[in-house]
Amino acid sequence: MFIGVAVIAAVGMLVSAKDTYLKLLNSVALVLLTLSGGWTIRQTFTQGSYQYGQGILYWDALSALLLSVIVIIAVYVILFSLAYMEKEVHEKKLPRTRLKWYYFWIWIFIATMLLVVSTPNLGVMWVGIEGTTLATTLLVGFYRNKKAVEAAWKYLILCTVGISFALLGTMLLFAAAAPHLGQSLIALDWRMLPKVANQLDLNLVRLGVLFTLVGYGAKVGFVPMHAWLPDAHSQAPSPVSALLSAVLLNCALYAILRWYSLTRLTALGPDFMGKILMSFGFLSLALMVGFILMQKDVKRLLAYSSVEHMGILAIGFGLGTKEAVWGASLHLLLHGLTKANLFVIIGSLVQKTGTRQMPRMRGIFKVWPYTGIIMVLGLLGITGTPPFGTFRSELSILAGLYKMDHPLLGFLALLCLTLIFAGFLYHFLQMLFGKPRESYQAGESVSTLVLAAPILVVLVLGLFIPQSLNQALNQVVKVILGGV
Amino acid sequence: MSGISENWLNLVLLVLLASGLSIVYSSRVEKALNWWTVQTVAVSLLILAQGIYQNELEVIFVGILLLIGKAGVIPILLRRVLKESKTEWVGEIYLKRASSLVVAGGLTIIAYDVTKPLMALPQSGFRNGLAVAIALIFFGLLLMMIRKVAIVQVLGILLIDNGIFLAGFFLTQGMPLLVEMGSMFDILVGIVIIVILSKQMLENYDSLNVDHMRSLKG
Repeated sequence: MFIGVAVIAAVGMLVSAKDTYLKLLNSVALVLLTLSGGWTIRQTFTQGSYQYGQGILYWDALSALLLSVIVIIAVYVILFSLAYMEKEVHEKKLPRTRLKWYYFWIWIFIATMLLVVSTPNLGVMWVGIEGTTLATTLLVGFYRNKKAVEAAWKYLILCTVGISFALLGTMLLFAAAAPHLGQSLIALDWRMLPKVANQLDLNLVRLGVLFTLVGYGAKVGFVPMHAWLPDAHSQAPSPVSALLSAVLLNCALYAILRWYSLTRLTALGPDFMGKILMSFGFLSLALMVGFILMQKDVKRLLAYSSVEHMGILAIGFGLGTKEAVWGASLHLLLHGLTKANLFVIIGSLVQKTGTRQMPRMRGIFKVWPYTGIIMVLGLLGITGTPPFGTFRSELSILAGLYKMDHPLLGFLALLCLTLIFAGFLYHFLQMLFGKPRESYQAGESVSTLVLAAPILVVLVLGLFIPQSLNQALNQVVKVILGGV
Repeated sequence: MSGISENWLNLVLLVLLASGLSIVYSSRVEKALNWWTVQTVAVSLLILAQGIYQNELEVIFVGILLLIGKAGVIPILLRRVLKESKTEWVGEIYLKRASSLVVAGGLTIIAYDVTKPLMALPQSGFRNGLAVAIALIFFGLLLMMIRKVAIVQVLGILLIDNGIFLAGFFLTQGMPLLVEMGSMFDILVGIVIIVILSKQMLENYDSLNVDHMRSLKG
């Protein structure tokens, strides 16, 4: 239903590139998306699950969590896009006619992500994830200059190869499940698979899990398959970077989680995939410290920080205790909000200063105080400083590490987080203070503060978590840990 | 597989493996592309034959789609890019063609070795088939690592895709139709996007050599 909205909106965008037309159509599409998406999310959380069209589309708590992330961030980012892209056209960085292609691909991108979280079938999910790669490639290369083309090429090649491994993994699972469930779509349905989970052929499942983890892991950006990520995030238009980082990575992680909750039930045991996830997580977290400390390009800084947070999520989910998975689910939502906010505000900063190099940005506070305030909020949010919600979720994951008798790992994770905090603080303080450049055009309206909406939500969620959200998260935990 | 006789199956597998090796050995992009087309036709004929013997409409349908979509459309699109860019050489940088053939031979043996534990499969023909499929995936990866022309890397992806398709066929006698069609659609759209991207690459760099693209680091 909302997938239809997104596809129709995408095609509609191609009709005209006039400013008013695009604004009107996007607003209508966003309202419809919010209404239908919000309704589905509500139904899912109140009933535990919700289906459409005799179960062709199916949502449980985990899909609903992802669905809410997609809808919220899509609305925020597209609203920002309308102003941002208009300005790019105004500054003659892009011809106006290209705008319609921009919105076309963005909406196709959103549609494919909605498909990923709405299908109960691991095969169709694969088709959707590959679809997200295709939809975003041309967005990454949207500026068509040398660097953008390079980033897009790297992205397409690396992710396509990765994803084809995931297809092989899915086939292996199908081969294992087909004798029990028959040669049809049902054999890849994650509602049916848990029922036969302990009868599946172990060799096939083990190999399948490995292939899938590497495949989708490339898309999530786990080290060592992360090479495409900073390039793609830094070269794409900023709103697209926000979507990539805050939603797409989560969608790929969602695919891994579906496999995870399934493998926990097979004879491989709950720890098999959890341990691999945790290794990926620690590797990603540890390696990003260096990249973040030494970074000069502000958008790459944020991209590496995404890899780091995906690592934290992998640790939390891989740990597999109730507390850690609860924290990770919350963190998934909060990281999405914070990162989208940061990419948006940094994007507008890059547009104003005309550079992505941090050493060339100085004295932001003096020239654009409101942008400065949001940057400070974002800095505190992304590094998990109290009282932001991210502190709470990261703490829950770390506490899980200590409780499961991994004090050394807990210490290492804390050390990495502290170093990353130091790196972020260093970079951001230098940008915020100092002597501003003369070429800056000072002055901005108070309305800039509207952009801070997501980070304020993160702040509030750090202070108190409403009962309904807590219940929803507990449902998510149940889905991940206990199958369907 | 009731239907196709062991002999015929072995013949098809020979064609598949030989064309895979020929792609690795080719020094001209156009030739490699031709070999890939031969291979894809062989894959789709195999699937068609299977479908006709077993009277399964779904399998026949997939075979026809494969023949038209992959063996038909993709070479035309890629050939157009080749002509425009005047690319002929495959860009052997790290390994020359003879030594890459040796490596590919080694990979084939490894492929036979790694598929051993999965060999609960009923017929020996299947066992060969799966090993050849894995070998093709290895060839694709090899091609992507040792060649520097964008289109050849794409051929690597397509080779991997053929391998995965075959592996799926031998493991499961065909995935559900919806998934098959979805993956084929994805590959087709992917190739269209690759064509668009290579045009932009030509505009920016005047060649399809990916070695020029090294500016993004750190």
